[in-house]
Amino acid sequence: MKISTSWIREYTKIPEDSDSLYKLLESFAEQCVDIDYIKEYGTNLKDIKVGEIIKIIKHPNADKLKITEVRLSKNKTVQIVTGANNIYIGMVCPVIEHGGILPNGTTIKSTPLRGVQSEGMLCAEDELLLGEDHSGIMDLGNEYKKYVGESLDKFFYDVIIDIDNKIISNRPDLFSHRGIAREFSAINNSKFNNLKLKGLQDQSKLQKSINIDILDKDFCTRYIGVIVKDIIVDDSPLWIKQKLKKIGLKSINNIVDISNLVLAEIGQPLHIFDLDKIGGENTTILVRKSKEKETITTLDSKERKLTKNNYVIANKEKALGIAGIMGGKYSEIDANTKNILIESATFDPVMIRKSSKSINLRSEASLRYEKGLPQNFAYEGMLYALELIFNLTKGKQYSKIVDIISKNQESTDNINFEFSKIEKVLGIKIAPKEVINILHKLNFKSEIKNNIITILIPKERRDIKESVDIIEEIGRIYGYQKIPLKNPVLETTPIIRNISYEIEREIKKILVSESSWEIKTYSFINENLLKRTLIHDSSLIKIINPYSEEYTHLRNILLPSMLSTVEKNIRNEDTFSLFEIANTYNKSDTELPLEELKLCISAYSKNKKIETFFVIKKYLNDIKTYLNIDEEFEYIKGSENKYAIYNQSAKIYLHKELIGEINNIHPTVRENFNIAGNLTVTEINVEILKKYIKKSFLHKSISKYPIVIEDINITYSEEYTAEEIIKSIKNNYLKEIRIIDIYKGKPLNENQTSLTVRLIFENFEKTFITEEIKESINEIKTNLLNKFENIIFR
Amino acid sequence: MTDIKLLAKNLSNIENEALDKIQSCNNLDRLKQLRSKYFGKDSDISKILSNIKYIRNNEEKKTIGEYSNKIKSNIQSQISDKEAILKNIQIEEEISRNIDISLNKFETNIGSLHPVTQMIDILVETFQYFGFSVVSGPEIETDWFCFQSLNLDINHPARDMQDTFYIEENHILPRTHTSSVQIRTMLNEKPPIRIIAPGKVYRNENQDQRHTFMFYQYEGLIIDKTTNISDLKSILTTALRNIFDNSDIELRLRHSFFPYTEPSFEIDATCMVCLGKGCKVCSNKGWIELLGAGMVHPQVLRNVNIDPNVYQGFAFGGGPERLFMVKNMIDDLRLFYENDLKFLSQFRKI
Repeated sequence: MKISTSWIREYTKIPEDSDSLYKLLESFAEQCVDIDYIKEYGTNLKDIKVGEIIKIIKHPNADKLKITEVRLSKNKTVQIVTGANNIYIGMVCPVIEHGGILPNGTTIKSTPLRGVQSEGMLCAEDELLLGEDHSGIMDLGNEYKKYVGESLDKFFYDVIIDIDNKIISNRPDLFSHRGIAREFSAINNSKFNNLKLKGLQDQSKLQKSINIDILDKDFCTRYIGVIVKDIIVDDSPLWIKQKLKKIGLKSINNIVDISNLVLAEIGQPLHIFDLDKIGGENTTILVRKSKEKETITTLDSKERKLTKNNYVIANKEKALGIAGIMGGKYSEIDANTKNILIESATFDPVMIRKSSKSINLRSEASLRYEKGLPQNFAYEGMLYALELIFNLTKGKQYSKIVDIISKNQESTDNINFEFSKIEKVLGIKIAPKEVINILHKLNFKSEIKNNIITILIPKERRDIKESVDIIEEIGRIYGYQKIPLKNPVLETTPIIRNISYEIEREIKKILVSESSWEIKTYSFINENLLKRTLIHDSSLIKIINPYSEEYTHLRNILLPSMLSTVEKNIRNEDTFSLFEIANTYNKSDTELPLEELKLCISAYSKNKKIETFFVIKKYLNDIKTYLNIDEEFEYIKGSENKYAIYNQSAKIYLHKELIGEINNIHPTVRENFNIAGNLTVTEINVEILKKYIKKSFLHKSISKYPIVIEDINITYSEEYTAEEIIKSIKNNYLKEIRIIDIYKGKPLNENQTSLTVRLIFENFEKTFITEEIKESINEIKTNLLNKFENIIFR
Repeated sequence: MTDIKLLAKNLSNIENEALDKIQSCNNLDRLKQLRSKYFGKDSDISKILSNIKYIRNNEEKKTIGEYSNKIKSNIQSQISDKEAILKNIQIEEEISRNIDISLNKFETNIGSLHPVTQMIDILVETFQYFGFSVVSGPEIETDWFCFQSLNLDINHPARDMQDTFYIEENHILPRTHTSSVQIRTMLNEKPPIRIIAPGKVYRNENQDQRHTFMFYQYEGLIIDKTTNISDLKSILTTALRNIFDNSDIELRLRHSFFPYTEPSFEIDATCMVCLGKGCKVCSNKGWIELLGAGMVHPQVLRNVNIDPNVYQGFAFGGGPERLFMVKNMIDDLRLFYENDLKFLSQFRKI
């Protein structure tokens, strides 16, 4: 919302000089509401003077030009040639003389125009950057006559601030210049001069009433209406135009501008109907819920289909406007309007919000109504509007003011609490006198008795409900920067360890040190991504209002996003590994979906010779070792997933529980993701892994006697796996078995593999003698030979 | 009968042969072989000496014994000397060899933690100094935990600040902030409570340099009998000084509005680039907005059955991405979720 600081000055004194003003604005942003930007208005007008046209003659050589004599002071006039049509004798307008510089930087020179010397220029609005109008010379109006010769910057310069509406969404009173001005007065500690409304003229002579029927009393809690007759619709005076222009509003006509001015000044939306278009003085105004299939064309010329959540202002025939949101085109004020009905009402914020959301239409009015305007604003708004209309349009009040309060607004009258609570929350002692002064500046009356502070809440402060609301007011105006830093005294409480977090962290640590990169992808996927991965899954959880077609469902698998990420990086790297730890989401019987922490690791190599499968397997085994899981992972060959190559995949079990799979990705899927080369991906359930992590290390005694290391070489054929063979190696003294070499190729047969295994023997009682080891190895070999045919020892 | 002269002659021959061989030996392995050749179980000397037992004359026996010992110790010492020489040569050889220290023969073999993980690590470490525990909660929440319990009724205008994705209309949703973890913790634990809750959050807003529909938040909460705004300022100042490794950072509490805190603030820190003088990074403000905070609203405490007349405390929350962006001068949030290794590789860390 845009706020004009010169408008604020009508209520309270704020610094004139730019440095002090900007300093105050900084405090304002800190203590009241953040400022999105600050903009200067009416700058570079020093050379533009107020002038009065005292003589106009025809140009001898050009039909379209006129020669004017313009008065710039008591005894100084200049001759200016102009092509404008709207000039008249006595017109007061902006003038720039020879040598002067326009706001856009152009220097004006005295030049002959078709043979007649022009010593300057009469200016249009747009030339001064004070508007868009270029249809004629800017008419300053009679009120400027007394300023002839003075520089224009004095009257037009302003500093406009745009404030962040979100922060004041609980403060409907601040959606107005008057409300903001009160804050300035509190922050600047300067006097606040409230808007002085003249009050009503004698109402007793007015007999005429208006039929107003509020059908939904929860929705419309107050409705004030009045009929004004014999108005003259015209242009607004310059001061209104300028005020509106500065805050980004276009001047329409005096009537519409007045309603906008009241809105900007005190925050009360008004609606003004052309009385003759809505049935004349005997019409009935209804405030009701919209009917089924009802439509209305709003002021913005759009036809709106109303919903069951809308409320309308109507006469007996039809809807005249969407209540609290936007009026109807049909009853709009136009140049011929003579008689009007002014509406100033209070509506329920929640219903306004629903109504506005249901047709996706927000307006300056609904913006304020949905914050919960106080009922007294409706009355003040009406008074102010009438005052302006009587002054500016020659209109006369025709009816009584009909004021219906259908439901009294709930509000807090007063609050009391222990004075010491202020210090308890803020952490600083503030003197009672200062507290009372701060509250006074914000329009709260307060007193302190027996250490209890009692505060009277003004009607417009509907946000104040309990002690902390008051303490916030005191704190921000006092200034949070005055609260000192100190070493906090905290109660002792032990840190509760979060095992899940720690494990996640450990897994990341090991993978990163193994040259894998952590990625984070979106939790949302779509069916197309699944299709590319050859997954068909109708059980995914759907998002009702997705961000885009690409992100329609919650994922229950990390692999597809992993493939996309591999695809993205393949242009830059030949070999890399990525991993992600994230939740997956599955439907469940409970209220909330089942969230499970999954780990997905990929290894890619452009070079097909690098067996990425075993890279991943090493990672998994390293994780297992690092996390201190006792049991080995069990790999069972095969996978039902279409994205996997069956013969190059395995299901992974831990303590007989399936924790995931390791898959070489199927060429079709690889092609779908434009991935050429080897790609292995594993996805495992961290929740299951977590169950088997040994939490403590129990010390095992170690042997004092030296270990003995013996390597044996086993050549076996394809019918067996290395794992089967190794698992069959058993001996009482055997402490550990390690694979140290696997070889395929010449001079072996094609289906043969040579495996070199290191056997480590340990004895707790004595040093081994050579014969014992020889015996053990023989025993091992004999066992293997009995179990596996055709294996050869070398 | 054994001829001691012949024995002596043989021994002398062996000695000569040995000394020759030792003399000409130029490597340590060969020397080792020589040692076992002359001193092993089946060495020639042993064989000869095994004949001594047939000598009857003790005088002769003694003479030949002494002679053989003399030869043995001579060979022994020759080997030892030679060994010392050869070892020396070997060391000389090794240490005189040059390597090209400018080469890298093995590539760096570490990946990197995602920047968000890196920042969360710093946050967790920092707040653990103050005794905060790390907690987590579900990402998919009910309306009550995400909104209603936090004073955000269904028609609260402040809901506009958080455009929500829905799984079930107005009921089940991906959380829009980590404040739901606050509520879950307060329902389950008794004060004093001190937690930090990092995690993913989701908002249905247009993606641009400053917005992504999924991002991270960290939520902090203290509830006890005394913690006040001065404590909030002190703890967050220390924390942010630690996070940015800069003790000149000051905080500014700017009045703000959140339905779940009262008073509420936006917290700005001195711009680390210009130290408050004003620069491009802080849009000439001298301050950088980092997080939101406030004293927990008494109604929120009532909602979780904590008596606001006895307990109070503060909550704060912000984005780890934001901290990381400020720290590393990154100007586009979307980079965090594009997962381009060219971006990720700039922040290598385990």
